[in-house]
Amino acid sequence: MIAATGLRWILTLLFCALAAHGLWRAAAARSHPWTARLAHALHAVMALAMLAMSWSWGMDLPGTPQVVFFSAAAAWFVLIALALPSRTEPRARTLVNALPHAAMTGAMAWMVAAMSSAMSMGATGGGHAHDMPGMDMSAPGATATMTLGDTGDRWSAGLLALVLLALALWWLAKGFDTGRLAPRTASGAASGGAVHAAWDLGCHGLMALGMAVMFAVMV
Amino acid sequence: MTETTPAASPPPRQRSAEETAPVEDFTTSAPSNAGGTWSGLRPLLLRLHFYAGILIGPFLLVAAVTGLLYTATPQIESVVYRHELKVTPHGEPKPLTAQVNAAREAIPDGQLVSVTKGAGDSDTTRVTFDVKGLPEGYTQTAFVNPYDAEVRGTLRTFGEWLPVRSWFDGLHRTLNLGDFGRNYSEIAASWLWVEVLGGLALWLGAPRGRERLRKLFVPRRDPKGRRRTLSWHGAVGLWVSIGFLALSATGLTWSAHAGANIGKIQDSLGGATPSLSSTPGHGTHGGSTGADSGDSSADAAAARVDLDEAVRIARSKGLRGKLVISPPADTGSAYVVRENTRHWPEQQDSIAIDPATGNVTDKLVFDDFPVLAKLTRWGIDAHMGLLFGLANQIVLALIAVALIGMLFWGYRMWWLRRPTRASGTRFGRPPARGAWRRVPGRVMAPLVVAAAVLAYYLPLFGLPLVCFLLGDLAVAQARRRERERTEARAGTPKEMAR
Repeated sequence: MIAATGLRWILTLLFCALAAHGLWRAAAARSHPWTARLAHALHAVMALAMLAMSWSWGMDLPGTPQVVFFSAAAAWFVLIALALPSRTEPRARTLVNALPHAAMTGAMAWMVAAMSSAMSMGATGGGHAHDMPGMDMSAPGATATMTLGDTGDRWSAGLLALVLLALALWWLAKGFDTGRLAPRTASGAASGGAVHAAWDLGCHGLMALGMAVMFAVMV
Repeated sequence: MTETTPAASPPPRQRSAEETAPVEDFTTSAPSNAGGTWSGLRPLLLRLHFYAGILIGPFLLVAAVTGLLYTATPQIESVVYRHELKVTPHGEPKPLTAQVNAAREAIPDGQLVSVTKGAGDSDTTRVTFDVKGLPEGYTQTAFVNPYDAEVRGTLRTFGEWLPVRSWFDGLHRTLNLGDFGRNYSEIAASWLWVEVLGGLALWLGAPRGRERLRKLFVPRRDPKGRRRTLSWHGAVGLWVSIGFLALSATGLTWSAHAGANIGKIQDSLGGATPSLSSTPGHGTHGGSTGADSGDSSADAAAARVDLDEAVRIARSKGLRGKLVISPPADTGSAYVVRENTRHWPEQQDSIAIDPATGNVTDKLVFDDFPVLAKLTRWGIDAHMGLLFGLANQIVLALIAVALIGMLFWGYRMWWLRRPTRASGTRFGRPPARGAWRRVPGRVMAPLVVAAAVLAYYLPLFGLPLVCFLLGDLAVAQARRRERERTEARAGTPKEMAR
């Protein structure tokens, strides 16, 4: 949960927009292969899970199903790249393109697991679940209500924050390049396909950026 | 009529390549990587600088004008309140307790907050009271002649500021509109540095031919029009940029929203200003808490240490200059005596004295403050024109005048760029939309992320930026649809003819 009201609402709006985009693309991108549409849907689910995690009620959601789901999603991205490579790209390139998505969903699974673990440690220690004694609870108005207590977990969270920030920059850069170099009509409008591609990349970048922030406040 | 009015405008003339270079950027937005990153980034920066200047300019102008007025307040106060502030020394000063008693008769319904003993022989003693009904932060101060305990006047004060300065201070900070008004000065402080850094990059990176250094630092006098105005805008901005940045940074430190974030960052870096413990921890005085537990002067009188003794102890411990003595707030508190010399070298040491024993129970030495805390203190006092006295005030006034000039020249350039042959009121051309398309993604992505981080920590930088971006997107979309409709209308007759 994010205690700083402003940051919580910024992330809420961000993840709402990303979930809406993912659902819309999953439903509307009929020309895309079903694997791509499923990937959009997975991104939408991940955005919703991140949204929930920003709020206190999100901490009550069961952790194990989420860990299983996102671990399976991470494996799915890798397996599908190996099993059903793109017709236009070599298999290795398809795999390289899928790895960032796998890393992001894997990081999501790790975050849920780390938080569930910290909460269960708190519960066995006799504390109330919302107090989360396994984590340090900051005063209201601080950046986060919780930070991971275990040093190893904190290092891992910091490392994942950096990885996700790098992924965010990479996706955003690709998105900007796709958008700016897209062919345009006389009225200045970019072609629809390029716009969708640019927005997809941009949304991946924003998702990674939002996750990086979530990991950073856990450190 | 001047040359800038449509009727008297000279006909278009051929411009030199050097003169037209900055103007070209206003009309080109096609994506191109030719010329490197800077040539791609420049139009985007120009667009940001232009729109921020146009939209934030009024806030900066108000801040500059009110700041300029504020710089003169010490001199105004010394004239207006001469009777309250100064006396002719004669004989030995009366004890502070007697002076406070005289002040209490002048403000009978007040609760004693502090006593300020002037640094010089001709200074009156200020006895400050909290009085019900005053706005938050305000107090009532009696000015007492230390030689005969005569009250020379009472004034409503804000901290140590007398009415004139507190009014101008409020005008500069909040337009005297309370907390809501603080947003204006925070917007100004949040955007000033953006304008300055962007302007510096544009000015330093502008193409120049011969005599590059002279053109960079010295405003041109010979050619008229936009070129000369730009030269003054750029050169003066270059000279004063450090001052602008310093004012922006120090202004942000005590702003409402960004200031809170800066405070958290400062604390996390170990740069928080240390505080003095006013609880002596004496066994027989630990039970009572709260400032409303009784009359503080009565508590002080009951103690063995009175105000004069507290001053003597403070002097013996090395405190110098103007001293502010806060009597114990309750039976469990200590006297707090602090230096209040806010000019260079700063004297900001303070001590806590147990009123029962006279022991110094805590001491803060300004020299031992963390560097960030010292920088904050120096920065605030420099921003307020206190750190270097009159020279500081003059520099601040020059910076304020320069900022007013920068805004004037900026708006004038906009005016000079307006279409002069079109009918009706027209504004100057803004830099072309779509400038971002010339910036490579590897540059744009970190810029956007950095802007997002800054926008979070400086909310009144972020909110206007988001509003501008959303507004710009909406306008772009509307115009694109309008163009498409126009094209469709133009295409329909041809289709029908076929």
